[in-house]
Amino acid sequence: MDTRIKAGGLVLKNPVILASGTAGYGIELAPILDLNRVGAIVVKGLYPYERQGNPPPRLWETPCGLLNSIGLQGVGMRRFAEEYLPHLSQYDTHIIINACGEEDEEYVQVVKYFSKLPSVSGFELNLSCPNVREGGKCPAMWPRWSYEIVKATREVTEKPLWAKLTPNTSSLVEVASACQEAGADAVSLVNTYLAMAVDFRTRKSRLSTLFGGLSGPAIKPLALRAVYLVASSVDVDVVGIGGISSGEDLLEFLLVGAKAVQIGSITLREPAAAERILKEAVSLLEEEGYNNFNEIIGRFQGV
Amino acid sequence: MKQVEGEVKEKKSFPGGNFVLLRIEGDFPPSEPGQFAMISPSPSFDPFLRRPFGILHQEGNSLFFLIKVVGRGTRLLSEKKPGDKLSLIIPLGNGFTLKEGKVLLAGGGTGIVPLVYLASRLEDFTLLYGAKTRDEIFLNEFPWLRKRAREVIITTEDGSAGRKGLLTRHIPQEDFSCAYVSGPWPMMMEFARLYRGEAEFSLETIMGCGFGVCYGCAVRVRRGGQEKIVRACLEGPVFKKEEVIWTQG
Ligand SMILES: Cc1cc2nc3c(=O)[nH]c(=O)nc-3n(C[C@H](O)[C@H](O)[C@H](O)COP(=O)(O)OP(=O)(O)OC[C@H]3O[C@@H](n4cnc5c(N)ncnc54)[C@H](O)[C@@H]3O)c2cc1C
Ligand SMILES: Cc1cc2nc3c(=O)[nH]c(=O)nc-3n(C[C@H](O)[C@H](O)[C@H](O)COP(=O)(O)O)c2cc1C
Ligand code: FES
Repeated sequence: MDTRIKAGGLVLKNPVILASGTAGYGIELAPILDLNRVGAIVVKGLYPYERQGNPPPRLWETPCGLLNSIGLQGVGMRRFAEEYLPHLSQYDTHIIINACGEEDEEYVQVVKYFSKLPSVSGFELNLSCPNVREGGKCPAMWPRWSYEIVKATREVTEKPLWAKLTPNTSSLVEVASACQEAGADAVSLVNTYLAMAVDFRTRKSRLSTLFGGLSGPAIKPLALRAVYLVASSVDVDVVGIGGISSGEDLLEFLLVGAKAVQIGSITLREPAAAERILKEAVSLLEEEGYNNFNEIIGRFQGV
Repeated sequence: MKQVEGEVKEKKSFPGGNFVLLRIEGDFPPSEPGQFAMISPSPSFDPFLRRPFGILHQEGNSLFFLIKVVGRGTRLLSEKKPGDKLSLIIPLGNGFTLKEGKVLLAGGGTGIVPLVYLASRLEDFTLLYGAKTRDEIFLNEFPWLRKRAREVIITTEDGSAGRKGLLTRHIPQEDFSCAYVSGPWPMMMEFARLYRGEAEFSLETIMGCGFGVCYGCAVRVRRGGQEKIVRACLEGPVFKKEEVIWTQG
């Protein structure tokens, strides 16, 4: 079966993309997952500089999911380019940089830096990371702010530019629309849901921070709705993310309008989940008599 | 690192039901002492994450684990029966560095696990093994340990076996080329304070993946005069004494 799809300015060999932050820099998974089999890899969030992240504890398991407060620990753009990119670029897949910033200008620095490297296929602006401008709130909470960052980065790159959105806003559709107007080739959603876990005995947070981000199968129904809302009202490619753990999950996201999907937390328990999910989706499609993924994208029939 | 489907071949439970010894068979890649496995407690998504367990021993196509029940995941694992299938990712982590000469193995509670495996590769060692009470000492499961050890010192907090009191009150006052330490954090911290020589510690942290992709297993360590946050699953779980920062958080 022809598994190719077009999404956000790229032709992917299949709609399965490894999500940022649950696949490291890609190569950590290589002993178990054949990276040549995934449509693209979004690497762990990168700032212009190295970051230590939050103190431990950073994880807390919840029913069918987990809370994290990693705090975007990472090697920074230069070390990534020197130490990891040469290995990663040996695989036949797209490499997408998850660009982060504590200040708006840092997104521009990251995008500019990688824009000239041929091994990088495109960018995903992580508009869901804490920014100093609003006391730690993230740009994707507001349409205007999201617009500004997409616009500023659009000016320094010709490569495909995606904006990754937070579901922790009452203006999700407006934010997606603002990103499209500013020139984004796609929006990817969702990032994690703000949530908390407390320890009755110590009367404190289970994490080193007050809140963490919830992910995994627990958030799938929430994410599916978010993707549906954006895909059905904004004229922009949507990359669906949130709790996807089976081929059927993938197809549900495509049905409600996603052009491709990202595989996140499931990779933590099953490093080769992406390959399994693709295989399952292909056989489901074949069973139902479809010839390719495009035939179901956006074909949701409602109630 | 490989993901392997294993089959529980033998299970031994102990009085009180809080500990199980498992022998799992499968096509496992070789491992080194101090490395660990990530085991999935359930094929369903609840609990969602795998759990880290030190390798007690590896021989032929068998892996051995000693598991203490402390929560849901370990409870589910303790309920496995011979014939049940389990998914493992192994081998993970760095493992101990083997040193020449006479060494000390100091294990508290399930901290004994990686030291049993390590002892199988050593010629000259003293074993210091502590637990709360005699039912939590599993020396009889490893008869060869007592035979091969230069000396075995058992300590229990209630004095029901061996010497009474915390393990750290009974550290032998001899010279060792290295001490290998594994156990609860407060025990290791106290050991580090009291012990003067070279030592390696196996740290336990919460782990999301076990193979370096999630950054959930962060520990603060000292390296090259600087404090750094590193991944315990990749750069650990074994750290040198001078690297460990005992007050995390
Ligand atoms: C390198 C390493 C080796 C280990 N070796 C052994 C061993 O040989 N035998 C043994 O009995 N135990 C061992 N542990 C501890 C064991 O992993 C935990 O007891 C177990 O994960 C608890 O799971 P639970 O679902 O029963 O507990 P819950 O409290 O229900 O678990 C909730 C979450 O916290 C995590 N968690 C809780 N306590 C710990 C802990 N102490 N360490 C790591 N994660 C924890 C769990 O993985 C899970 O994600 C080891 C831990 C590490 C890091
Ligand atoms: C441990 C962890 C780290 C993450 N790090 C990032 C990151 O660096 N950048 C980013 O855009 N999203 C990050 N995410 C969010 C995921 O990419 C994804 O959007 C989210 O987890 C929802 O998908 P899932 O339910 O399939 O995991 C992270 C998620 C987890 C669990
Ligand atoms: S446990 Fe995921 S990086 Fe160490």
